Amino acid sequence: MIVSPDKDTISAISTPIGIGAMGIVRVSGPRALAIGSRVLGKNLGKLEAKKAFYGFVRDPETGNLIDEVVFLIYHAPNSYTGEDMLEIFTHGGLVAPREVLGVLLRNGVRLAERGEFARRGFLNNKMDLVKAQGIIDVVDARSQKALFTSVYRLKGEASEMVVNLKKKLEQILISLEATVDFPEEIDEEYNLVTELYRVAGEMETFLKGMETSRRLRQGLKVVLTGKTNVGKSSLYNTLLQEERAIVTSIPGTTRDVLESQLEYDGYPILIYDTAGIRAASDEIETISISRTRQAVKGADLVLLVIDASIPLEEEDEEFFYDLKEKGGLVILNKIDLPEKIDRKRILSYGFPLLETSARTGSGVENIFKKVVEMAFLGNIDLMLSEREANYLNEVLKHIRGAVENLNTLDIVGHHLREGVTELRRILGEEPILDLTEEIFKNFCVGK
Amino acid sequence: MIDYPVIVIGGGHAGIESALASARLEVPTLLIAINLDTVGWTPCNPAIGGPGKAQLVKEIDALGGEMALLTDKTFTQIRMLNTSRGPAVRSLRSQIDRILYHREAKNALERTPQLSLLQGEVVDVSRIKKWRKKPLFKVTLRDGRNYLSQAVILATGTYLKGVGRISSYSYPSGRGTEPPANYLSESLIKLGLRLRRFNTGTTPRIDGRTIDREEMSIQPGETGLKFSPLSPSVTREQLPSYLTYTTLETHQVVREHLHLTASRSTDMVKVGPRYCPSIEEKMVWFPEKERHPVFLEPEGFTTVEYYVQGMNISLPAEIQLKILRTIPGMKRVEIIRPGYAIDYDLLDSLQLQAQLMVKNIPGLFTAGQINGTTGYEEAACQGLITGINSALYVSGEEGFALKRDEAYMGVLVDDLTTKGVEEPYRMLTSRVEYRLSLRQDNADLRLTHLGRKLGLVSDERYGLYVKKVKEIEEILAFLKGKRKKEDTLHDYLKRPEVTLWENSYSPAGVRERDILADSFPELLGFSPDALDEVNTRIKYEGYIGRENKRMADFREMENFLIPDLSEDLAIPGLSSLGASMLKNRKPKSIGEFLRMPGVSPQDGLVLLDKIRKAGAVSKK
Repeated sequence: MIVSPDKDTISAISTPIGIGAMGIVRVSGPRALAIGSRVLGKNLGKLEAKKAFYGFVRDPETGNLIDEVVFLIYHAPNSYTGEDMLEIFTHGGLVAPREVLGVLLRNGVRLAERGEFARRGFLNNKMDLVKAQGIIDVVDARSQKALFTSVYRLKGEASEMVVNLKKKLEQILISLEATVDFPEEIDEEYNLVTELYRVAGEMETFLKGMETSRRLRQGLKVVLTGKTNVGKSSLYNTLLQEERAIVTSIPGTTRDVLESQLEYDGYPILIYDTAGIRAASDEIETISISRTRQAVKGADLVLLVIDASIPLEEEDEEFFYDLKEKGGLVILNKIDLPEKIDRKRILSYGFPLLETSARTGSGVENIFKKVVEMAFLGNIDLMLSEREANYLNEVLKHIRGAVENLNTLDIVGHHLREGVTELRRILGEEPILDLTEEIFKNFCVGK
Repeated sequence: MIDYPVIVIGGGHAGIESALASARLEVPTLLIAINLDTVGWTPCNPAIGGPGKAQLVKEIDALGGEMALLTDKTFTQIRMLNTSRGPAVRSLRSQIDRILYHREAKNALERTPQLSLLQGEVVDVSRIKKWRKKPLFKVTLRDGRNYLSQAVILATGTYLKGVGRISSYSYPSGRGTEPPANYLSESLIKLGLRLRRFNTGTTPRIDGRTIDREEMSIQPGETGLKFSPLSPSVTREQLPSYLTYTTLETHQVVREHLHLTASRSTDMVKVGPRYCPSIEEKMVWFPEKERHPVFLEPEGFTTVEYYVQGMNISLPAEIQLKILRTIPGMKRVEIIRPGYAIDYDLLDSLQLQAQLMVKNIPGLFTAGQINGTTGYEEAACQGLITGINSALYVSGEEGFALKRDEAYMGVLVDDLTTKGVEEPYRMLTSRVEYRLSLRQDNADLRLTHLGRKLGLVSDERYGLYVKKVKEIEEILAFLKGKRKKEDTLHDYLKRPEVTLWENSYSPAGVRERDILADSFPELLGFSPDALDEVNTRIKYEGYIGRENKRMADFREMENFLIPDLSEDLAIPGLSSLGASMLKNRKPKSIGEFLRMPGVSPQDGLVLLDKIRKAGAVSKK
């Protein structure tokens, strides 16, 4: 059996998101080892198969460290999918597996569809249909049927918007195909440019609206920052009402990013505790800092924790950059102790200021209220999963691709076809639109 | 025992390519036509090419067929359509001289060794005893003469029980005023074939001396174009076409007489091509349109007749005249031949396999309009496929088929044989999934080596192909070896404003073009075709790469072959539609099965699983 070198290389996180001490990111396809070599900085082709190796995932573009990992390689056909495969064991939680997947996606792999690993395994005769279907049922209880098609059923308003978008995009595609196939006969003035720009605009607005819904589905990402020893971990624990982070008074104890999920008033919130260091003395600290940076980068809101019992230091002020970038709150911690902080100076940065004592628990309720008010109130009308959002982002890419290539209609046609296919996939429809049929319905093409 | 191993019935565009291919593969072949004086006739518009069709012509040419050469010898005008819309949809379109084309076509047949011609009406094709384990066909002419063959190709066009119609007046007719083949249909039914009926139509031919050209816009041809790389460059003077439009008055007159149109005043079937509606249908289907374009196309260098493109009509002749005279530039027009509708018998193409051989009748092939297509180019490519396959069949060799990811021809045949047609089928670029990769300009790179392997491609044609391949490699090496700014020329060419040479494709609208050949004149030593190919290949690299991935997925499914399953094989889990398609249409691969209407993705999986468990799996 020969696996075509032209097939897509796919990847996905194959452990439940946010649960477990470890994440597994799987890569499968003809370029799995080549792309793996790039992000792991090692020639994977030379390594022994099915053996665990230790390494670091880095972003090849920036050289930034992403995670410290263990990985295994498999050679076709001796793998689960029958293709070359790479399995990367990352740190657990939400951040590490996603960042690792992210760097893979940026380096040439495609996000796997639901059940696609099992599907490839079946097609390459590595398992029978019953087993493949069983795996897919476990992977996703919602998609009972599809190995070939992926069924992503949207609900309510989001579905309506996607349906509308699809109709518009199809209409543009049909007009374009008609002019290409009947260049002499169709003399209707059709403003492709205006129509495309309009749809691109609508799509962008729609995806912005989805941000709220992502927060609703996955939780609002709230990151605690601040220099070491200001009581971030105590506050983290108080917010969670459980002892999770190791809280001591030795600076730099929290060397990894910790995260927890909770619900406040029905709103899902993900809280991250970060190391308060900004300069590293060893490699582990380097990872720690890079993790902190990633956590802040992915944050919806930043809570800058400042110790009210000591005077403001230059180091505290550096953390305001994150606040400026991401938005958020300043939390004055340890207000049960005598106050030595310059409140005026803090207020001059222009962020809401709340006070709390992690030790007594006072003011915690207010933090939650303020966070929910800032992040959620407004337009909560759309519900989309991250995967759906991913597909819609693909669609947007194609619309932009079409707009950028307006002078070559064959390329515009390519992007529109792909965009329409993605949308139909999201809606669980047949992937192919019968263009010819639509052209004849819509245009008088007879010479 | 046999008279000719291969007999081709019909001398239209399908019959010509079929007979030529079979004879060129050194199989003695007989072509029988009702009238040899109209071989290769173009009974509808005198045009070859256009989007979708030009790609077919180039593919026929790449495989060693004749159509491109005949066109280049006889065109009165040639143009490139969609020039500014990207290389994947660029399409050559030509007007040809009807009489010259016929002459050249007949001459090509006569020049070919192993090919015999015979005039006569075939009234019966029947299977008789087996010879060397293969069935033998008896082809009977109306005068009672019989010819025995191993393979028969039916390329009967609109002749099968053809009925011409002008309003309620109807007359038995093949093409134009030729007689139909009235008996063959019955013999096909006797062979067990399912027949159906379509209609089509054509426009009036008018006297060019009675039109006022200054009231129309002129459409001249372009110089330096031709279909086949094998043709010498064409320098003959070209004839222009003219463009005018219908008026509200035109529409008024048509509407007043709608009840007289053939489909309303007779029992003619109403299964016509929607991309070629009659002027009557245009009034009904697109009532809001205030005007429709009308193209006047010359029928040849030595005639005053013009074809009135866009005015397909079956109203009474005197009404046709009244209607034409409402069109600007045609106030004093005279009609030489009125437009008419025609309906004819054809086969349900789902009875065919990918070699265009009838599934249950080995040795019987069909090509062209009999399979439900329309268009000279569509017919010709099917002729080529059946010619090749009939020759392979009689030699006991494996059949030849192209797939959807290889050629427009592959898409056409697959559409006919797996999806079926509900109206006369015309090729369009929008039917092609891998359009960026299957271009008219790379047809030779895609197919010529296949034609060579078959034995259809001459040394001269193959030499040109090899030269082009070599030139492309040399250009690529050159571009990788030279630098401009900080890039190799290869990467530099990816910038939107840069092109390889002045005629290469570049996105229109880019003002400051940077033409590499200006600073690297060595490039001009290569042929324009090779330069254009490299230019497109580099600029479309990313897109073509994406298409390659789609093609890989497609091929994976095509390569899961379905063995001959016993009739009573019950497969639990298969939908009833899936089961019926499997039983009745006998798909050859999972991919083909999945393309059949009503077959669900799950059906494909269930079948694959079943085949594997039966231990019968085969994967190429």
